[in-house]
Amino acid sequence: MAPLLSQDIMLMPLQTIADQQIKTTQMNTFSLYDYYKQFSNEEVHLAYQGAFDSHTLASLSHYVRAASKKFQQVQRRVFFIFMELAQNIAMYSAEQEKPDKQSGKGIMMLRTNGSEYIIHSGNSIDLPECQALKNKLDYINSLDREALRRYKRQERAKSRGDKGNAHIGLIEIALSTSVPLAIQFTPIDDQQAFYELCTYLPLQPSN
Amino acid sequence: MAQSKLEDLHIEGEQGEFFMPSVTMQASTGEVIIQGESYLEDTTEFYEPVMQWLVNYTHQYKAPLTLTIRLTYYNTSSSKSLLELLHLAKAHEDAGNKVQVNWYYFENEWGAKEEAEDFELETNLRFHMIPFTQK
Repeated sequence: MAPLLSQDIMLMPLQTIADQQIKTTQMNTFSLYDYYKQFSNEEVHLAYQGAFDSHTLASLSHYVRAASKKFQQVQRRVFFIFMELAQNIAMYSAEQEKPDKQSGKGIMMLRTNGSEYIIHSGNSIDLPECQALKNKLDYINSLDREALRRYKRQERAKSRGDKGNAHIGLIEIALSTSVPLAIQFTPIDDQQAFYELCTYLPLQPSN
Repeated sequence: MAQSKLEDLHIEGEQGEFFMPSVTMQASTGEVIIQGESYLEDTTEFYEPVMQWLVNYTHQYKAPLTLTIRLTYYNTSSSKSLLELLHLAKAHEDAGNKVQVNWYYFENEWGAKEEAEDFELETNLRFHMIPFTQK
């Protein structure tokens, strides 16, 4: 029997490969390629969806540092905002992986758009909480820098002895950027909404 | 009434899985140094012994206190704890003791100086501001 030459293998008709691809597509309608394309187009440097517990937060902190290394001047602020938002998901998401309430589920994304870093967080919250949260964020966005600092000092004095500080975290995030915080609430069902917060940082700050 | 001598406190920092600063507190010199990174989800538990030590020190000793804060990263939760420590330092100063706060910050970091100023305004302490040397 003649040995199988490599040429024989290469002559396998392309039709066979195409048949196999078609079969795969029919079995699986999720297009990873579409995600990949979109993530590339949107300059997504880091994306994580899932539970945010202490291990995840620790891993993410390393990734974020690496992802923002290129722009030294804003690296620290990108890190601060990202970790603050990620910790908020862990603590305040309506979807908790474990009942001890430190493992909230949601999504974090770090991307660029040519001139800015965009730090984007999303998680579900209970519908009754939406209005209060929106009011809080609208108020924060309405303040100029001096007023925002006063507000922070005031709130910190008020909350001495209290546990929990997502509220002050949002003020600190607002102080880390000169661009107003962008927020969006999308109803999921009659119980919950998906809450998104988006912050922008110039890649090359002027000051 | 005899008071037991205040033991020095030393906590070794960690920066892998958890982000805890190193803390050194010396009763003989009144020197407290907090350095590294402070990125814990809930810092109250970590800072509890630090707070307690400072409470003990300020109650037991009519002596100077030098509080050095040399953190490259700290989150909102840590800010709360730092504020409490600063309030304790201020109380010590108000009781007639010499208190110095050394606050390290990144000079070219937008908002860094204001953060320190806010702590000063909240506690009425005057910080000795020291820039981190750029690496």
